[in-house]
Amino acid sequence: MAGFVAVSAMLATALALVATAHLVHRAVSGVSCPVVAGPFESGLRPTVHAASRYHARWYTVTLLFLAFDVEMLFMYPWAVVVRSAGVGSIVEMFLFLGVLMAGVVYAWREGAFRWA
Amino acid sequence: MGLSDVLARWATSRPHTLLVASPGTTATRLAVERWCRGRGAVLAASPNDADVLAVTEPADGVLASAVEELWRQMPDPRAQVRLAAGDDVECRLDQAVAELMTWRPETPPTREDEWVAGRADDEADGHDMSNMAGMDHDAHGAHDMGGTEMPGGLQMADRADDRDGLTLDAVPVALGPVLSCWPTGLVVDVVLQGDLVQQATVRPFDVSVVEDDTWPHHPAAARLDRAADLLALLGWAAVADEARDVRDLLLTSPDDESIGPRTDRVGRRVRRSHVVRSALTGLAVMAGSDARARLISWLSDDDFPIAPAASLEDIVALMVGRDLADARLVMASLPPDLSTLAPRRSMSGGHGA
Amino acid sequence: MTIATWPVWAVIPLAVVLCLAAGLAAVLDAAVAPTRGSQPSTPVAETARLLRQTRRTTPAPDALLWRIGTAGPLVTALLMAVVIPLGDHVPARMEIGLVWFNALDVLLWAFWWMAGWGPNSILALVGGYRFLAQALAYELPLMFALTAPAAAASSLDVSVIVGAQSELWYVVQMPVAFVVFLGCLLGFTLWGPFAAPLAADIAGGVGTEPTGIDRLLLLAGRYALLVVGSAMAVALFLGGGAGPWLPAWLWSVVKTLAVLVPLLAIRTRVPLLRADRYMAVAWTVVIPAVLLQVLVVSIVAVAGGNGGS
Repeated sequence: MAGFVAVSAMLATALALVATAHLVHRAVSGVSCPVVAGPFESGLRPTVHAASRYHARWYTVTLLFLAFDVEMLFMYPWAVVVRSAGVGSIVEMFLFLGVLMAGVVYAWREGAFRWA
Repeated sequence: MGLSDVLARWATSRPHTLLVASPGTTATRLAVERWCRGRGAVLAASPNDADVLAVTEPADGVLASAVEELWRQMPDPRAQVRLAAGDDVECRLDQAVAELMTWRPETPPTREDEWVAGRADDEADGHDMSNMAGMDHDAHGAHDMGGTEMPGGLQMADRADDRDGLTLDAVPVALGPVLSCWPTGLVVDVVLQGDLVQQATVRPFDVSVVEDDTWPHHPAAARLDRAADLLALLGWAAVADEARDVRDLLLTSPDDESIGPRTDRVGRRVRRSHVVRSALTGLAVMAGSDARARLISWLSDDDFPIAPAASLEDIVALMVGRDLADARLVMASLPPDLSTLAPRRSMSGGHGA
Repeated sequence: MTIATWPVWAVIPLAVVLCLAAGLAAVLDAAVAPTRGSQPSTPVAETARLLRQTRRTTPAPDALLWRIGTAGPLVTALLMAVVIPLGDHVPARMEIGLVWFNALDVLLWAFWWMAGWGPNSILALVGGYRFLAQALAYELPLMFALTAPAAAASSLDVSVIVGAQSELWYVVQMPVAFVVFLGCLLGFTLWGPFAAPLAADIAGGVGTEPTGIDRLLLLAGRYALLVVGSAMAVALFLGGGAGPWLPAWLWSVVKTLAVLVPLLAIRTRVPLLRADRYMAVAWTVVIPAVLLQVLVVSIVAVAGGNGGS
C-alpha cells in the first residue's frame, strides 16, 4: 500500500500545481472574473444551447466495446498467472476471446462499424 | 515593472492573428500572410486564440456584425486593424502588435458580459441576426416562454426526426461567414443532429465583393491556394504549407525552377495517400469529377477551371446527409465564385451594415 | 536491475520535472514538426502569451466539468508518472502499476469529452464526441498491448516488467504490441493522425473555447501525456534504464527521447484519420493482430521463455 501513499501525494501535488497555475495567471492577467462572451460560431451568435442530446451514431460499437471491456477483468489476472498455470489457461482464455471475436465478426458483417 | 515588459515582449513575439478577408481582397490577404511569415506570427482559427483581428475593407453586410461579434469574443489583450486596399499592411500590423505590447491589465475590468452587451446591440439595431436564418427558435422566443428565461437567452435545441428513425435534438449551426478554409462572407445554415447535417440552406449573400486582380492573372497560384485550403481541412499541415509556399513563389518569382518539381512532389504525395483517397473519393461529385480528382487536377499542370460551374444551392445540397467534416470538404472542393453572386442587400440594409 | 522507490516527497520535484519535460517536448515539436511560424522558442512565447491572456467563458457553460476537462490531461500525466521507473528508481511501486496506467488513460475519455461539453459550444461538442469515437477504436488495442508485457513478465508491476527485460528487450519479442502501444498513445494525446477532435475544420474543436490558463493547461497536458507515454513505452518494451556505460536514469531519458521525437515528427506529416473510416480496421485487423501477439507471448512464457517472476 505504500504505492498509494505516493499516488495520493502526487494527486495532491498535481492539484496544487493546477491551483498555483490559476493563481499565477490571475496575478499576471489581472482579471479575477472571466468575461462572458458567446461561443465561436463563425462570428454569428448561436440561437440555441449547444448542450443537447448528441446523436452518437456509433452507439453499436459501444455495446461491443462493453463486452470486451468486461473481458479485461479476466485478462489482467490471467496475464499474471499464465506462466504458472500452463497451457490450459492459454487455451481457456483464447477460447473465450475467440467467442468474443466471433461476436465482433458478426457485428462487422452486420455493419455495426459503418455509420457514416 | 521590468517583469511585465519582459513578459509582454515574449508574449507578442508570436501574435496570433484572426484574419477576416472580405471576398476579393486577395492581395491584402496574401500581404497579411506574408507578414505572419516574416514576423513568426500565426493565423488563428477562432477569436479565443487570437490577439490581433485583421479585417480587410469593406467588410459589410453580414461580415460587419460578424466582425463586431468576433471582437467581443476576443479576450484581452487584443488589437483590431482595418486594412484598406492601399495600406501598408506590415506597418499597420506592427502598430497593432505594439499596442498589444503596451497593454496592461485594467483595474477595475471594463469588460464583463459581452454576451449580454451583444444582445443589447442587436436589439438596438432593430433586428435580430437570427431573423435572417428563418429559424423558428430565436431570441424572440425567450420572451414569451411563459416567464422562464433560459440562461444566456438561448433556447434548448428542438427535436426532429433523423434518418435512423429516432427523434433527436437538432441544433441549428451557422457555417460562415468567418471560418477557416471557408469562403468569407458566405453563410450556410445547417441543422446538425450529432455531427450529421440534416438540412443546409444558404443565406442571401449580402457582402460586397471587391474586384480581384490577383487570381485572374495567376491561375496556377489560385489552384494551389484552393488545394492548400482543402489539404489544411484534411489536417495535412506539412503538405498544405508546402502548397502555400509554392503559391507564394509563383506570385513573387514565377520563373523559379523549383516550382515544377515541388508541385509534382506535392501532387505525388496526395495521389499516393490512402487517407486522402478514402476521405475524398466519391465526395462532392459534380460534373463527373469527385473531390479527389479535382484536388489532383489543382496540383497538376491542367489548365481547366478550378471547379465546375455550380450554383450555391447545388453545392449546399451535396452537404445534406453528410457529417460536418465531409460538409466542410464539400465546400472546400467546390469553391464558389462569389463575384458572380449579385450582392443583394439584406432587408435590414442601411442599419449601419 | 533492482528498482528502489524514492521517498514520498520526491513526487514534488518529479511533478516539476515533468512539467519542464512537457516544455521540452514542445520545443522539440517546434523543431521537428515545423509549421509556418513555429521555431524552437515558440513554447516560451506561447506560455507568456497565454499567461497574459485573460480568461473568458461562455453563456451557460458547465463550468465545473469544463475546468476539470481542461486541467485533466495534465493531472493524468502526473499521476501516470508515479509508476514509471526513471533509471532504477520509481516514485511508487504498485503491484498493479500497469492497471493503474490503464485506468488513468481511461479517465482521459472523461476529460477530453468534458473539455468538449463544458463550454456549451457546438464546435467543441463535435470535437468531444469525435474523441469518443476514436477512443472506442484505440482503447481495446491499447489494453491488449499492455497485457503482452504483463504476460511475459508474469506481473502487473511496471518495475518487475523492467527487471524482466534484462536478457532481451520486449520490443524484440513483441513488436506488434510496441507499435500498437505507440499508436494508441497518439490516440489518447490527440496527436498526429488522431487529432480530429482538435481539427481545423471545427475551428480547433476542443481547443476552440479555452483561453488563458485553461488553454495552457490543456496544451501542456497534451505534451506531458506524450512524454509520460513515451516513458511508459520505454519501461514496458525498451528495457527501462538498462544499458552500458551511462547511468540508468540517463539511459531512461535517452530512450524516452528516442521514442518521443519520432512521435512528435508525425504531427504535420500525416493527414487526419476519421473514426468512421478506420473503426472497422481497428476492430477487425488491429485487435486480432494484438491478440495473436498476446497468444505468442503467452505460449513462449509457458514454454519457459525469458523473463522472470
